Amino acid sequence: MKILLQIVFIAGIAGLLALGHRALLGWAVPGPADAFTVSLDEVAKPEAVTWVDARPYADYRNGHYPGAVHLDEESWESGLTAFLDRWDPDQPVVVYCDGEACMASKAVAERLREELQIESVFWLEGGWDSLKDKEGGL
Amino acid sequence: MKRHWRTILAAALGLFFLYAGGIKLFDPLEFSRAIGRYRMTGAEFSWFLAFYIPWMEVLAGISIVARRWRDAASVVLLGLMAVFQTGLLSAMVRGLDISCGCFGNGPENGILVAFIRNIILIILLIVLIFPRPSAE
Repeated sequence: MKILLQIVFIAGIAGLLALGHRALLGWAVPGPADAFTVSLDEVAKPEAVTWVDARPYADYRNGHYPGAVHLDEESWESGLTAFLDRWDPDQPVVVYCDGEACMASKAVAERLREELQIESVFWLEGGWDSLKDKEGGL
Repeated sequence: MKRHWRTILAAALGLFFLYAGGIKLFDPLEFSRAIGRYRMTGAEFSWFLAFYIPWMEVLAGISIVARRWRDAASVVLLGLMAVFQTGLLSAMVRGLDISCGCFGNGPENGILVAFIRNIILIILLIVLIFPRPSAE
């Protein structure tokens, strides 16, 4: 019984510290907003972009932006081969995932930047949700 | 002699988890991304865990080093290790090509190495709890 109370106490104190820590850094779940975020409105020429779909392959298969290549961290090696076949070094790369809260696009974009030294790689604010909404306008 | 070994083992384990938790506390965003790569939790829950797990590791690590509530802290860490192993096993089964995120943005050796390392840690934690010398 005593050990159970101690476990609950440790878990509780950790929870309080975690809440305090989170309060210090802000409650909101961090989105992908930073210098490498682009919104759909900022993509001036969607046809002159190498689009990368970082969602799970099943979602990609159900529908993706025209010409987008699938590349996620689950199947990095095979996806990278397909990406390199499609990639035009003169074009910027824009990575998208599901929506506002997903983090896969940022992770994939960062990995592309680190591993392939691609400077012009961005992740799309709003992801596939925003692409779907404006698909007719692209 | 046996007692010395337990003291050394406790110090080593405590410092290990202090380091593992502490390094993640400095960059919760990176750790939340690492959790997200397992595709088992949503962004909100990943963000919450990115604070909670490291604090659990740090508090349990301090408890073990300080020899206060050592058994309770070891049980807490065993619970955490069970959660980690479930995540790692699930990632291996699904063939995820990801880093384990065990040390936040720190050194990583892949999922299989992390899984084996965790098995060793689990064994050491169990050794720390059982058997206990009656003098202690």
